[in-house]
Amino acid sequence: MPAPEFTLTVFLISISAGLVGALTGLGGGIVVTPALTLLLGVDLRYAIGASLVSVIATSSGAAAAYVRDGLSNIRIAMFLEIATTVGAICGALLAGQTPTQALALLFGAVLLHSAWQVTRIQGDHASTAAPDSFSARLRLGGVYHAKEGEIPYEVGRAKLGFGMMYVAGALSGLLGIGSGALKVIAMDRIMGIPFKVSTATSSFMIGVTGVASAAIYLKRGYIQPVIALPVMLGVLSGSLLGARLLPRLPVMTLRRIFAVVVAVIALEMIRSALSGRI
Amino acid sequence: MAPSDLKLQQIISATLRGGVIVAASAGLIGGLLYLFSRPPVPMFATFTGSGTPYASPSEVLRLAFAAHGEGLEARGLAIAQLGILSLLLTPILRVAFSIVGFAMERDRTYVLITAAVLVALTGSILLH
Repeated sequence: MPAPEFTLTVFLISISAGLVGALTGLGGGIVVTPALTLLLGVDLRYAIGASLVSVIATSSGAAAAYVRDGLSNIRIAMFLEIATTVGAICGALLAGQTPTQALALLFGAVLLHSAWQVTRIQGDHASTAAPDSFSARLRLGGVYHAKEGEIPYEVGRAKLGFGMMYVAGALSGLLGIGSGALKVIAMDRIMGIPFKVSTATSSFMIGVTGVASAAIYLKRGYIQPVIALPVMLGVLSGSLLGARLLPRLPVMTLRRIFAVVVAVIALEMIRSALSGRI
Repeated sequence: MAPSDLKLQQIISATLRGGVIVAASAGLIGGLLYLFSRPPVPMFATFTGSGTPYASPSEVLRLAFAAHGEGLEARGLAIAQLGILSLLLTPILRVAFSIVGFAMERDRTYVLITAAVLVALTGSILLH
């Protein structure tokens, strides 16, 4: 495919991925990698490098607004980022030693789990945590603004959440994804942090986590501007568009539809990996 | 919440937004230069590894700004990659600013926690 057509195709695929990512809440990175490898036959490592760059761009954009509105908890983020960055470095180093087929298989499995997760997203809930002594010492709890006013919350099971964050970081480094779904599970389900604060803090953390593995990807030649640039610009525009459309759309119905789409992509990824086409 | 916390939030928010804007603008300029240069057919089906000049920040700087570079295609791609590199720099700056913020609050625990994250990030840059 000649360069202008290639750039345009990658850009359009990335816009769609960004849209699906925003509407499902999964982020565009996790959809763009299988799309590039399955539709265009791009080597998984170039797709992973490009996807990670797009993940850092979209999460930075979203986090800028969340932080300004005081929704991201900077203390929780800093504490958990020790686990995610170390995990991301281990993941990125491991990725270099892992056959692409195995990576593709793991990618499919994570994608399948994410699709299932999307259908289980519930709305906001109040803080359910009983603070443990460790969280109290680190003063992890906080306050966030809601329609009802200032809502205080506590944080529990910080050590278990920290361990889960290491896993989220490792997957992020292995597969070039933001691991937003896992990060939210760790904060929302394990540590009992309100859902809104969990998502805002997660997207704030994705940038730092992503950079830890991106530095390693860069040196290994995974980040090629010819592909990373249209992916970054496309996913970024798709996500911005998705965020604009979100309030006007029947979100729950869309989530169910896209969960099926993501599941089909996941199964296709697994099939390609097993048949040796990736 | 302490007033310095609010100030820190504003600085972090502006840094993150700035990184995205710089990356997108440099990307657009570099991408257009690349497309105008009548580039060859892109090959991405097989991975060629770290031999590429875009893997090295100093090489990227040279290709982007050298008076007599290696043609429009390389210059365009280097400018785009420079945008991507500045995007990668913003989370690191964000962590560095947080250390200063926590130090101003005399919050030793969080200065140490944030410093640990910065050490991990620096490690990832130095690793081979």
